[in-house]
Amino acid sequence: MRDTPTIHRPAGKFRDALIHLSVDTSGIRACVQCGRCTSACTAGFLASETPRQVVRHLQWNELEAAVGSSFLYQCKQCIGCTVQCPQGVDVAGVVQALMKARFLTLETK
Amino acid sequence: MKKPTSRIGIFVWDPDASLRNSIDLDSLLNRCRSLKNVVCCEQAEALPGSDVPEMPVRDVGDERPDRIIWVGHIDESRYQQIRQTLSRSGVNPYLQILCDLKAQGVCSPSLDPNVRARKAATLLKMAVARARLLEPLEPLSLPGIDTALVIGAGVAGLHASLSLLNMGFGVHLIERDSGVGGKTALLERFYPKICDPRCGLDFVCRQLIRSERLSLHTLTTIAKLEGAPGAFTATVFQQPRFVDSARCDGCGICQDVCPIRISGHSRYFQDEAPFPTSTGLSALAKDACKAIHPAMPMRIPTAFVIERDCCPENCDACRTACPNGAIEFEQEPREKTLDAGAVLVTTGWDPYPLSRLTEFGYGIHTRVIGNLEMEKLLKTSTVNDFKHVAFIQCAGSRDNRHLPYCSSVCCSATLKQIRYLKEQSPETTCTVFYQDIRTPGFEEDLYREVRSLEKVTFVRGLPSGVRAQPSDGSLNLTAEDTFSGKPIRIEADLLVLAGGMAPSTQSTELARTLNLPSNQYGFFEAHHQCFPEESQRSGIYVGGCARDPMSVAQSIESSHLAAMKAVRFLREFVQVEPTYPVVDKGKCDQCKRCVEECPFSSFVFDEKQFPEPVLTRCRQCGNCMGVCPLGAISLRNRTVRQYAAAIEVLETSFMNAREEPLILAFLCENDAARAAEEANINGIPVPPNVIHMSVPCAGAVNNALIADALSLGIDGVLIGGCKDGQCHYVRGNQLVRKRSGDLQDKLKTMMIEPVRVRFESLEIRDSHKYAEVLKTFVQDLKAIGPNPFKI
Repeated sequence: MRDTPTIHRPAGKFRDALIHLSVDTSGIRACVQCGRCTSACTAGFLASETPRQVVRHLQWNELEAAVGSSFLYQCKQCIGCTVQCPQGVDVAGVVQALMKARFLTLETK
Repeated sequence: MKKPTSRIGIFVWDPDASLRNSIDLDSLLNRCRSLKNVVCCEQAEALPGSDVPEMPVRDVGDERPDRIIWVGHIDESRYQQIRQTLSRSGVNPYLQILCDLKAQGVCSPSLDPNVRARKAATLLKMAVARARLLEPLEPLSLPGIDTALVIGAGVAGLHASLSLLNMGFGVHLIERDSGVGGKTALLERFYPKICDPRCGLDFVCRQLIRSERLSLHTLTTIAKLEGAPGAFTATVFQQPRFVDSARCDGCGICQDVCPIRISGHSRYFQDEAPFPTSTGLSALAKDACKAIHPAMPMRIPTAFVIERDCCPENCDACRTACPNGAIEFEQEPREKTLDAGAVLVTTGWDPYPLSRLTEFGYGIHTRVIGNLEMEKLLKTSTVNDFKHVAFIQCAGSRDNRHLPYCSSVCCSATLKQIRYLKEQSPETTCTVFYQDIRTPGFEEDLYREVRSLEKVTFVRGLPSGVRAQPSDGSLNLTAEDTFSGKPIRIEADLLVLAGGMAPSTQSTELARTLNLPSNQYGFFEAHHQCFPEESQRSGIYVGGCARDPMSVAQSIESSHLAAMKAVRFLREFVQVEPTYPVVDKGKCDQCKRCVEECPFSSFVFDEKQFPEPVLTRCRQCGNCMGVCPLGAISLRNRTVRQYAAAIEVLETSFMNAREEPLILAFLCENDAARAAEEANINGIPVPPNVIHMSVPCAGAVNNALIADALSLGIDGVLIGGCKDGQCHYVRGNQLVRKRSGDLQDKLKTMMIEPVRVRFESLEIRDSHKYAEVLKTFVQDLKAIGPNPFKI
C-alpha cells in the first residue's frame, strides 16, 4: 500500500515572505466590504467563506487564514467580482495570487 | 515742479521694554536719524487710539512726517486701529508700515547682542527703503447695478431671489423650463418633516410674484456673459411659448380640446429608454399630458405652453378654442440682453442615468424603477399593490465606474420613502440593501424610526444583479449579509434604485458659457471650506446642488449665502481696495502670461492689446506680479520696486561670520508669515539667519526678486506657501513651484546652485515646522558654502 503523502506547509517568516511575494495586497485597502463580489460570484456561497471574507482576512493581514480559506478551492476565476467591485479592487486577481501562494507553500513529504 | 521728498517718521512702541532690554535702542534710533528722508525717530509714549487721536510727535515743526514706520510688536487689530485713527488726522493708511522686530526674531535671548543690533538696524533700513517708495492710495468706488441674475429657478434659485428681493435688489430669474420649482417640485415628500415640498415652494413663490422687481424669464437659457462684477451684461435666448403670457389666464379650455397626448417632461428622467407600461405601472412617473399644458413643474407663470414639435399639421384646435385669443403660433425665439451686478448659479442637479447600471436592468425589467419615479409612485394608489419592495442604495454613487462621490441624500430619501410607504400600506415588506447608511445629524432620527418599523429589514451587502421571473415579472435578488457571511435571497415585486446626483446638464453648458471652472466631478467650487459659495470667477456665486450634492434644506441655506455674498456687487457703488495690480505699459511686452495665470481670469486687453486687470474681478492675490517675466506688474501698495529696494539694502554681513548663511524668506501672509511671527514671538528657537518678508500669496514672488536676492549675496531664499489645495487663491503655491523650473536655468547661468531656492508648505500653526525647515536649510547652505556673490 502506498503511503498517503502528508502535506505540510512551511511556517513562519519564510512562508509569509513567499505569500508577500505573490500577493499584492495594496489594492485591497480600497475595499469597503460591501459584499458585491460575493453576490456576483458564481461560487459565492458554495464554500464556508465568501470572497469578501477572503479580502477581509487580507485587510487584517491574516495571511494564514487567507491562504487557507476554503473559498480558494471553489473559485472558478469567472472575474465577476472584479467586474462588479465599485471600488475597483481586483478581487479575482487577489484570489488567483492566493491560489498561487497556496501552491507555492505546499510541500509533500 | 520739484517732487516732494518723503518725510519718514519712525516710532518705536516698546511698552514692556523688551526691545530696550535686547538691543541698544538709543544708538539704533540715532543711526536711523541719519538715514535719508527720516525726519523723526522717537519712542512713542502712547499709541494713537480713542484717547490719543494724534500722531505722537514732538517738536518736528514743519517737518511733520507724511509716512510712518511703527517699530515694535503691535497686534494686527490694534495696528489697524492705529492706521484708521491716523488716517483721520491726515496720514494716508497706505503710507504706514509696521516693522515688527520681535516677529523677526531680534529679541531672541540666545542671539549674540552684536548680531541682534545689526539685524535690527538692517530691518529698519529695509523698512525705510520701502517706506520711501510708498504711495498714498484712496479706496475706489465703481458703479454697480442693483439687479442680480439668478440662473435656475429651482428651490435654491427661488430662495436666493427672494432673499435678494427682500434686501431691495432686483432679480432677473432665468429658467430653462416652462415653470419654476425644479426637481424639488417633483418630489412627493421631503425629509425630515415628511411634508409636501410644494407647500414650501408655493409659499416662496407667492412672495416672489408679489414683488415688482422680479422679472422671470422662463424657457430661457443664457448664451453669453460679458462684463465684470458690478456691470455684467448677459445675452439670453428665450424659446417661444406660443402662448401670449399677458392674455392667457390659465383657464385650461385649450387643454381639453388638444388632440395630442405626450409623455410629458421626460427631461427629469434623463433616460431615453421609454418606460415600460405593461405592468400597471403606467400611471407612474412620466406625466402624461397634452401638447398644450400648464407650466411645469409648477404653474408659475400662469400662461400655458405648447410643445410645438408634437402638434399635428394644420391643427388649430387650441387657437379656435381659446376665449382670450392668447395662442400665437407665430412666436419666434427671442434674444434679450440683461444687465446685472452679480450672477448666481443655481442650476441644480440631474439624476444619474440609471440605465448605465446595466446589472440592475433599469429600463429592461418592468419592475425596476429609480428613486425619483418612486416619488411619483408614492402619489398613486398603485403603490399598495406591492407586497415586497426592495431598495438598493448607492446605485451609481460611491462607485468608481459611475459617480465616485457620495450623493449625500439618497440614504435619507430612501428612509423617507419607506416611512411614507409604510404609512400608506403598513403590510408591505421593505428590504434595503446598503453598504453604509449615511444619515448625518438629526437625520439619524429618521433612520431610527424606520429601523423600528415592522417588516423593514436592512441588509448590509449589495446585490450585484437582478433576475426577473418571466411569468410575473417579480424580481429575485441575492446578496451577502456581510455581518454573517450568509446569503440573503429575496423575491421582490418592486426594486427601487437609489440613484445618485450628477451635475445638471445645464451646469456643463454654463461652465463653457461663463468660463466657470468646475471640479473633477463637474460641480462648481473654488474653496470649499472657507468660501463655499464662491466660484472661481468674481461676482459669480453658486448655490444649491450646482455646488455639491446636498439636501433641500442645505440648498436653501447655500442659496441664501450666495445671495448674501452677491450683495457686494449690487450696491450703487462697488468698493474696491486700492491695492489692486497695475501694469506698467512701458515695460510690458504683451506676453499674456498674467492673463493665463490669473486664477480668477481678471485680465482683459485694452485697445492697444495690453493686459489690464478688471478691478472688480481681481482678488488682489498678486499672482500676476509674480508671473510677469519683466516685473511690469505690481500691486499698488507692494510693488516689485519696493521689495527690490528693501532687498538691496539688506546687509548680508549682519551675522557674525561669513560662513553663517543668510536666508531671505518670502512667506504667504495668510499662513506661513503667521507661523513665522508666532514662532519668533513664542520663543521657538528659529535660526537667527533669516529675514522674512510677507507677500499676499506665495504665487506673488517674482523670479526677478529671487535672482536679485541671490545676486546680492543672500545665501538662500525660502518661499513659504500653503499646502496643495489649501491656497485661498486656488493655486498660487502651485504656480510658484511651476515657475521655479524656469528659475533653475537662470540660476545655473548665474553659477548659483539651484538648491539655494527652496519651497515649503507651511500652515498657519506650523511654527515648529518653520523652525525645523530653517534649521535644515541653514545646515544645507553651510554644507554648500557661502554664495559666490557674497562680499
